[in-house]
Amino acid sequence: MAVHQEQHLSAVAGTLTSLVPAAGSGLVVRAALIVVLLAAASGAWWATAGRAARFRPLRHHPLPGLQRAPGARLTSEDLSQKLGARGTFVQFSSATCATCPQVRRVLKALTATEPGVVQVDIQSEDRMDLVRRFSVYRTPTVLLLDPHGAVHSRTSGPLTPARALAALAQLSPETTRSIDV
Amino acid sequence: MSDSPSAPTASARSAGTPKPPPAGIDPRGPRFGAGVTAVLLAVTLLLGTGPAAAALLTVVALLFVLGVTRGVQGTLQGLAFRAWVRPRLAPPAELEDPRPPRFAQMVGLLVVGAGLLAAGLGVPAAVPIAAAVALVAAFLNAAFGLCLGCELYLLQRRWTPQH
Repeated sequence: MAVHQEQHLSAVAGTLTSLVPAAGSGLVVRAALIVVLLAAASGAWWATAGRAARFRPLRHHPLPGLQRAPGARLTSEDLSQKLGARGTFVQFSSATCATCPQVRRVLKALTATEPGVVQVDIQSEDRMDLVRRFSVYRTPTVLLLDPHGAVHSRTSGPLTPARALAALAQLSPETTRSIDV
Repeated sequence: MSDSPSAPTASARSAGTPKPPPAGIDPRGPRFGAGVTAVLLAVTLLLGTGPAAAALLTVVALLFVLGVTRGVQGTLQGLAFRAWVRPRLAPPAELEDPRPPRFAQMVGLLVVGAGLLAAGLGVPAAVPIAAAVALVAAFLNAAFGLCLGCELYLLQRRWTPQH
């Protein structure tokens, strides 16, 4: 859908550009280029944000070196904290992260209502080893661990409670009767 | 809640060490400021490569300098937001850490400053190129609340050698 929109917008921009010789002014070209630039930026944002906001299973993750690697597992020693019996949300935060507090609140609220779910907040600057090991490129990035610490899925950017609950449901479908999202 | 600039002045360099978090700011302030910046940058692009464009880009750079040294709430846009915009809005649902947008101001300053430097060295096309890059970031911030500069922080940390 975004592609169609972009095509439409660039068609409009193309029409604008073809008017230019008649207008005889560089101003119109520049204005059209600005419109194209902002439309492309909006399209890119729309596509990236939509994709990033979902919890993606790790095996579909496109980054190399992550799939099934022995490092794709976090132990309670790594986190110096006990893992959740049902699942553990590991959030990578940083000092310059505007969205992190919102995500932290969502996950914290979830641990209050969902038994066996633990939330761990990692200050990325302090744990660059984990940042590199798990190919974290932006904050907030949230990993969802299964009870054994294996990374089940991950997401980044703003997070809604519904998305987090859905990811939990994916993790342990047999215990999801209470969830209606 | 007042958002008086209680941020430690030395925090620009040591943003990595999470000391006491400074007082929160209204998240709509940086977005409003980014909107103003985006308009200025769009006008810069419309002006092309002449001295007028370079002058306007210099104004934008100076605004970024204010943002880096005083935080976004200390820029002219921040002051305008507090004086004229915020009184007309409902109180914010939540406050935001002022450090991320401040870091983004530094990224903006680097981009715009590099453009002006290259223009000064005889590459006039650097002005519209830098303006276009900064415009995308400012526009995404104003329109969608995405802080592109903030996203670069962790990448920069990854590149710097491990201590």
